[in-house]
Amino acid sequence: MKITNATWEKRNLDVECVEITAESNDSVPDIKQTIENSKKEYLVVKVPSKNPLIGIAAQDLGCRYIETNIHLTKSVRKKPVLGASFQRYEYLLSYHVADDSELERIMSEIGSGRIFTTDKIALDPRFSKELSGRRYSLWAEDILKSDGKAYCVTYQDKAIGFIINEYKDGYMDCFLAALFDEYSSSGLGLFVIHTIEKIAYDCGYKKIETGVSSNNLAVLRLYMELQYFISGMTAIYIWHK
Amino acid sequence: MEQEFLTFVADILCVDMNDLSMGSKYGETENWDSLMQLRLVAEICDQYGVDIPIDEVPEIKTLGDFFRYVEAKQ
Repeated sequence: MKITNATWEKRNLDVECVEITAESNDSVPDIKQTIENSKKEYLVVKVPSKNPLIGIAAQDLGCRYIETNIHLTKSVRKKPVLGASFQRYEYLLSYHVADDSELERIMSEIGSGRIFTTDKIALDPRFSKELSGRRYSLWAEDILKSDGKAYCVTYQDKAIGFIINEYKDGYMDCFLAALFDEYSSSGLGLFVIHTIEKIAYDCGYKKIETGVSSNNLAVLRLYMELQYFISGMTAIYIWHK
Repeated sequence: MEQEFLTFVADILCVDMNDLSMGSKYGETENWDSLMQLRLVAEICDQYGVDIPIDEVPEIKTLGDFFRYVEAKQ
């Protein structure tokens, strides 16, 4: 197992946070002992789907299930195109690196707490959607200060959404992808998710990695429509003082 | 015409036609989510030969809103 003092959550959420990442070969007594020793203010226990006994142990010690992180991957071998039903829209879709004013809009939308509403912070009664927005916003700033890049997705030259990627050794990690708030109920989310693959292809990356919360079925369906592969699942349990 | 339209939509949404009406709402009707919204646009355009501009899609909130495009074409 891995134990992390998640010091960044003091800045993001104003709590002392410890994260325990279990591995499939961890023993239940060891995990129980570590959970007991790690209870400070806010504890996050990440349990791979292959070992549900660890999840039961976490719950025995007062941790509560909040979400499952679904890890998704896709190999990018050829120029991506939308499926037959949606191909008629392909030529109207485009993307570009966000300029300063677009970046300002993106950060404002992320920070608003209206876009990302299904993660473990947004849905935790001890936190809030607004706090989740603030956390994502600070996190995105960190990524953009290192090697991350933000893109605007356009449809008929109108910006409908955005993507923030990180570039790792050999693959592209999509950190965030979303529609702008005014398009949130438009059904255009598929175009944004499709654009992730177009960026990877154009940048020469052969593999995309990303994730989605089990609380966000609508977005999971978009990834499934685009033939992403579920590479793993991690159940998340939380404990508050 | 309305019944035939609802049957068509029920097939796409994979739901019982009796669970649908012209007042059925996006986001509140079983299986009618973001992806299905776009699929409905594409399938209705193909089936009825109508044109639904994408920038009008955010305004489509009920099956009745979709049906108005079909009616206008008749």
